[in-house]
Amino acid sequence: MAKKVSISGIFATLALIFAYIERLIPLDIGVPGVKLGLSNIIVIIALYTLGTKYAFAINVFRIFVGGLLFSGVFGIAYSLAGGLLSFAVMYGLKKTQLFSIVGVSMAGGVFHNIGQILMAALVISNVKIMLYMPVLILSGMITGILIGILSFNLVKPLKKILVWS
Amino acid sequence: MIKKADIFLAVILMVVGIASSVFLVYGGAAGETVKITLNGSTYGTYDLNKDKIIEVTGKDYFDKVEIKDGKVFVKDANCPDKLCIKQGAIDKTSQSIVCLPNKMVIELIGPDSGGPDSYSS
Repeated sequence: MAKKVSISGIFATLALIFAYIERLIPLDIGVPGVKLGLSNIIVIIALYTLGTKYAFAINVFRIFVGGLLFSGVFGIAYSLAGGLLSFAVMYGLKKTQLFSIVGVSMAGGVFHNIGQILMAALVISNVKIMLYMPVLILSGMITGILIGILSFNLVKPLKKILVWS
Repeated sequence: MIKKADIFLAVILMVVGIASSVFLVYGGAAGETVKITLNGSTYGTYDLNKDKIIEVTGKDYFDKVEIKDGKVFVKDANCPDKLCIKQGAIDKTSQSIVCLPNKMVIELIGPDSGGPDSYSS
């Protein structure tokens, strides 16, 4: 338990560092919401090594603290919508045990973008923004698969080191 | 590393994504009227075939919208991300320009999708 909590702290800090690194990488294709989702690596790894409760806590922590540090209060609203929907979908898919970590991550990337666009439609009170859906689905798939492959390769060795007794 | 269900899910997502992209690229009719929405309510409607510059001033930001040669685009804005400018010029009803910080949306309305009048009679 104490070991899990301390590892969670390290993971949460790493998620914030990844959020910062992500801001240094310019990825601007003119559509709001398209991004790499680097800090999702941490959430996925936590989901597969620490378990659902810890991963959820890390996810909520990185959304609030990361939002305050890097994108402001409005940014938190978008991240929260994306982060919670994405987490719910990833948790659900993982529980079925039908999907690999790559599939779970891909769905997470797509639903993160869907959650954000739903929040954006709510903020500007206009459903016309749904027109960005195709770009956001496809970009979410690509980044989600990349993040999934990275996570797959990281979870295996980490599971050997992180032994809870 | 990859299971059958992953591929199945990827195919479904790709079909949904590509089908909606195709609709967006080929589905729209030529627009005739520019409708600008600010904060959820209509800011104004303008003729797409008359060149004009419109200043859309919201609570914190402004967008300078230009109608030129049958296309509409955001020429200048003081929002932090400037994504509205990067979205470029549009001329079809399936397209739109969105400025999230200013809560502004530019839509195009075609000849047959006017007001409620087009459905009555």
